Amino acid sequence: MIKILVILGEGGHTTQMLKLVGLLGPNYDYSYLMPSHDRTSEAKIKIAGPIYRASLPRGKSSTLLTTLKLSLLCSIQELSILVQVRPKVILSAGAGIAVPISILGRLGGVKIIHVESASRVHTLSVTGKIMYRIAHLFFVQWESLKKKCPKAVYAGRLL
Amino acid sequence: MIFVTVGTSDFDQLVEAIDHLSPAIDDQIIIQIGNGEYIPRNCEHFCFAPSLDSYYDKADIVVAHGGLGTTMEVLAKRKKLLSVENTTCVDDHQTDILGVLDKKRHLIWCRDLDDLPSLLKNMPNVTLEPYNPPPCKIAEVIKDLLGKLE
Repeated sequence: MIKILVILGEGGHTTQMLKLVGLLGPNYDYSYLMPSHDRTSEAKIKIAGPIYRASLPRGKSSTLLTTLKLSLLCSIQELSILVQVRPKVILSAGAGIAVPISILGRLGGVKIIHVESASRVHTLSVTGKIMYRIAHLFFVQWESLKKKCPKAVYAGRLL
Repeated sequence: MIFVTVGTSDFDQLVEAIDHLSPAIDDQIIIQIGNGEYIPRNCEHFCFAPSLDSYYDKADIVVAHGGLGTTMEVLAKRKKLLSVENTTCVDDHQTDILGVLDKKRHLIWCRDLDDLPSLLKNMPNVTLEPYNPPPCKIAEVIKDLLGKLE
């Protein structure tokens, strides 16, 4: 079974990812990564798998220096998770927590699939702009956004 | 009943605004306050629940933060939705989606909390268009790729 590490970025990010996992079905080996403080994602998982947690790479209103510190901490935690899980694929819909592990995974030969959140209609999110460069397969969920991202795939909307 | 929800984050400005409006509203109001610090004095409230379904089901009007998960959940339930943009969020990510859904008349978009009292008062009179997402083939495209990895 293909091992997929699913990134649950909380709120709507989690909702979209778990909808997609439901559509992909039980024939894959899923692990999940979610933010340390996340109190709602875990209970929504329908297809069980080991759960890992990491801190967020940036705060709501942090300075450049704090962002660097937070990103470094997040990257160290995520590297350790990557080594433990050894996934073949990383699947994400953001948010920021998906970025360090996707960069590290890409360097280690993991296939990266990113679905830009359906909340983005006309412009990519900051996470999306980075993931657009890293991902092997990049989905947008509005046709209007496809025009600005020629490499992206539009295949409808999860929600 | 009017159900107010802030989702998985916090949105004290909305909770406080509703709490102040509540004595003048002739309807029951229940607020899900999330991680917020402001505790309502005039309304029934709670922080989180495993599922908000039972609250949505009982509500005539839902007032919510503009997050995508909440927004789509409420639209799928065919409830009248007043979406209040949380401008403190990273990336202003609620503007894009609320703009489109408001333009297509799937919800009413409250851009500024100053407009909340009048928009809320008018909610019983508005008619909204049901939202139906386009067919989704994302899983099929991914399965194709995964098939090549095996």
